[in-house]
Amino acid sequence: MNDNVMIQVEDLKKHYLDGQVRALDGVSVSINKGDVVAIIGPSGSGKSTLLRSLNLLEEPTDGHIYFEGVDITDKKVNINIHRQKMGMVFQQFNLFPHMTVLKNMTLAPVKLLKISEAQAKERALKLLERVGLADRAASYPAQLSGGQKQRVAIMRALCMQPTVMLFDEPTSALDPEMVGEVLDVMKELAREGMTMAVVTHEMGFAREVANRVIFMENGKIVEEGSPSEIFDHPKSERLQSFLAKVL
Amino acid sequence: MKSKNEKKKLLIEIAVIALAIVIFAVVVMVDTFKAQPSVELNVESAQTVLKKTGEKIPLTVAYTANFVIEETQIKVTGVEAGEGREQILHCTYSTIDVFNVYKANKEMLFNDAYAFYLEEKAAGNMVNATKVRQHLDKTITPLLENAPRIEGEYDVLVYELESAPQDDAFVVHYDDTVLRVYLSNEMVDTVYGGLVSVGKDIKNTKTLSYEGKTIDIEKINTLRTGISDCFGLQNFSSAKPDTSPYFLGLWNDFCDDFYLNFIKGAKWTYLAKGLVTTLEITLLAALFGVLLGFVCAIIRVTHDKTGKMMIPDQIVRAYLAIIRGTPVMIQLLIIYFVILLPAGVAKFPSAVICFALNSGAYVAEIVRGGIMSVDNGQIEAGRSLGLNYIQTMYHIVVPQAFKAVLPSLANEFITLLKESSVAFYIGVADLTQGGLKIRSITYSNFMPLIAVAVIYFIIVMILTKLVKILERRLRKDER
Repeated sequence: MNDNVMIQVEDLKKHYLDGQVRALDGVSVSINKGDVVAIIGPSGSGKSTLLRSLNLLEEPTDGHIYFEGVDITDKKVNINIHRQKMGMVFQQFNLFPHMTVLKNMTLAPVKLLKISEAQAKERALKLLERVGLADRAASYPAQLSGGQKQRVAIMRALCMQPTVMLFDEPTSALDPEMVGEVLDVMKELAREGMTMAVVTHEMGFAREVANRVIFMENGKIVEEGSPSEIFDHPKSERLQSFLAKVL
Repeated sequence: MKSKNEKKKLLIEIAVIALAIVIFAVVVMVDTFKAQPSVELNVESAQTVLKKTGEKIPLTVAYTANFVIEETQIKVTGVEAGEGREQILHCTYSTIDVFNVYKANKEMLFNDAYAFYLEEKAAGNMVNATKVRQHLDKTITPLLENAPRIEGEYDVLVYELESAPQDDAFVVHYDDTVLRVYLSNEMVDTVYGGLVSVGKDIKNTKTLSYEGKTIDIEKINTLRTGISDCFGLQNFSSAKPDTSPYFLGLWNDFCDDFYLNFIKGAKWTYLAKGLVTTLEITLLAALFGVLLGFVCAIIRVTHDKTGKMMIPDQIVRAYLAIIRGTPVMIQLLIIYFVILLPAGVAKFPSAVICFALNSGAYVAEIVRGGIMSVDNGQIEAGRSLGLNYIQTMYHIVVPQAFKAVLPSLANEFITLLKESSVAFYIGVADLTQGGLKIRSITYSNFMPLIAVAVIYFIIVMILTKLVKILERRLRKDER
């Protein structure tokens, strides 16, 4: 396997109700180091299921996922260790409401990376400073705006120093005027060379930042290519009609 | 602004509770104060009081017995404070043995009286009790004058009354206060050489044998009254008359009752010690109950969410069903008498174990609800960071669930406090048992039971208040 490949997905299937519902119906894809992959498609197409399968939040019915060369769908593999290297950002932020921003960010590093409380704090504050939220370190999530929450959520994931970041519709729950501040953070991450997989409805972002775009429908990858291939020269009829609706 | 108003309201509520406690304390103090007699008798003054009482007794006992009363000597040897405003006079007495004179001469008296009765009837004269008495006086008086004396000791109870009663029997005015001297029938009987017993025996005598024949004298009242009169006897009641004005009487009774049930013999310590035991049982049981409840809840939730822990889940389900499906008292009796007593476990730990098991089942359901109410996204966020299931539960889910269910848990604690009152069934000296113990000593129902209820109530009110404050603070935290 190519050293450059970060995640390799082979014939991934996710079935519900004994196969009556096929959220993923044989998906194969590979994400290389430094890739920014945007996953687009109509709702119910399986794009979120695919993303959530990458760190096994959804357990696939069949198929294999290789992360850094290890088959994480193997039952013997301790998934917790691999999840540490795969940051995830949710549509609903999922910050821990009973902890301060700082505590949200330092909990996992202190417990899992065995670094000291002070080191974790320093790391977290540095990250917060980068997104201009250092002054909110002692706040509780409920005291933050949606955009601030999502930026904190991204920083929380980064605190674990992951090798890949998974974004599950990170801007869908935000008020329009807050979408920009979150996308800016993501753009900067991409520029720094972070490997990213992003499920998004922000076509502008996909076109500008992604180096590859995947279009899914009915649990299958319909088309895959560079942003210009997907957005400017869509081959399939379904992609054409989808783009016609969203652009 | 809003929080200021809330603070004000809170302060008022605290003030009301404090006021209630102060009033309660004052009432207790006033009662204790009121329970002391204002005239404290000594041997000399008691002698005077008793003499005045003695003067009153002949009035009700009637005339010819005067010499019995005159011959009777009563001396006060000591005075002791009794219950409430009551004082006890220790006395010695010396009197003539009327009862034995009567017993020795009963047949002769009855026959003599009957012969006189028949004689007068035959002569065509009217027979009344006075005639019978006059006939018998000649025989009985010399017998009584020569009768042997008997001596002994007895106690007289003296109460102080708030005001003079209308009926002045057994009431003595002394030193500007009204004293009620309580003499029981038995006491009067003893002190006056069996006068009352003599009267009772005459009343109960329905036949006599006269010249070999049994004569029914039940209807010849003049006969029996005449015999009774020659001993100077009349029926008198010495029952405690309640003669004070109604409400004052109630208040006096209340004060006396209060003194009797709590102050005398430091009986309030039963309640105080019982309360400490009740609180200990409740706190320990709540602590273990909450731990047990959390463990059970986590097992149930883990099974529901992941399908793992089949067998523990089944065990927990059975435990919850059994505890929630049976009364706590039966659980207590079974746990103590069937399981722990044979194993040599004492009452107190048994009670703690029982209530912990009981409370654990209810806590489990409360906490399960709390955990289920935590958004699934929280678990996903924790897991996506690499935390394992236990870490996620421990650091993320349980703290949030705990906060959410804290008010419910506090209410469960209040319920537990009240339910722990059944511990007295296995003989744990808790608050309820303390009240029942006082009840078994004083035979009062009102005071000990109401006191126990009031103490439970006050504690529950305080806890309820604390729960409300807690709820307010929790709500503030996440805003």
